[in-house]
Amino acid sequence: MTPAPTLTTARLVLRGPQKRDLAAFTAWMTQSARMEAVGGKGTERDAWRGFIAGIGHWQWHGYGFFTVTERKSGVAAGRVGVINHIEWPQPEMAWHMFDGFEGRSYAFEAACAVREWAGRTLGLEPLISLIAPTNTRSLALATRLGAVEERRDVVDGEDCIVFRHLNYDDARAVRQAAGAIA
Amino acid sequence: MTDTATRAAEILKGHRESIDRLDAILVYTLGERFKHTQAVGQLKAEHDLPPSDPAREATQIARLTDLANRADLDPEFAKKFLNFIIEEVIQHHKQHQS
Repeated sequence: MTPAPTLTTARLVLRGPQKRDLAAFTAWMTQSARMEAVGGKGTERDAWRGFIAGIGHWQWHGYGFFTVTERKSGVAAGRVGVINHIEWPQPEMAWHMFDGFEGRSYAFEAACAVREWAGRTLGLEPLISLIAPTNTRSLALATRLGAVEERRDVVDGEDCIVFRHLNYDDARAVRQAAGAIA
Repeated sequence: MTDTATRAAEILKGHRESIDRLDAILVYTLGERFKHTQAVGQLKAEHDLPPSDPAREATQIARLTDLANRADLDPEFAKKFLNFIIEEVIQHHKQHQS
């Protein structure tokens, strides 16, 4: 369905989106309180459009959102990946964990693998993350990843803080990746 | 050979033998390190353990810089060398997975 590779970490498998992920994605988009941080909840129709757009994004750029699944259960726990929509300043690392999968460092673990892959395999410059100033969980994750605030911006009509991530071969990033992947 | 030249040649031989032994230590140390990182990977996957705590990477780098300074080794070289080894762990793990 997409050219996405499969990235494996200690506890997770990151793979391209597949049809069977639509239900979990729709539940997240239509019901999760976390949607407030990314522009508010959507309808089932929004979820469908968003999901197929996610597949198109992989075809267009060669990168996009991975579906993050638990290695043990195979259950979809969220999405982490690199996105670069038409109005985006630069490729962004983004993360959405589905309800019930927060608080386990899954997003951190997946983000370490994505940063490594984006830098080493795709050859992308250090990624940005666009985070709403009120999204405390994401702000904490960006900081934990070693990203630093670069500036404030308005993207897609929303106020956001632009974080700059570490280069994949920065000493700290390498250690984080080893801890998360191996 | 003069006496001093003979003496120098002996000292050189001694250094070379030491270097050979140190190389052996390096190789065995690396082998041992890879065994442990592999075991850590297996433990994490089997017992659902999270990645290292946030403070660990920063502490490790500070410690390494301090050690290098004490050992009169260029800290930048030490960082690069360890990065190279750690990246090898990541690559090894990836190959193991695929």
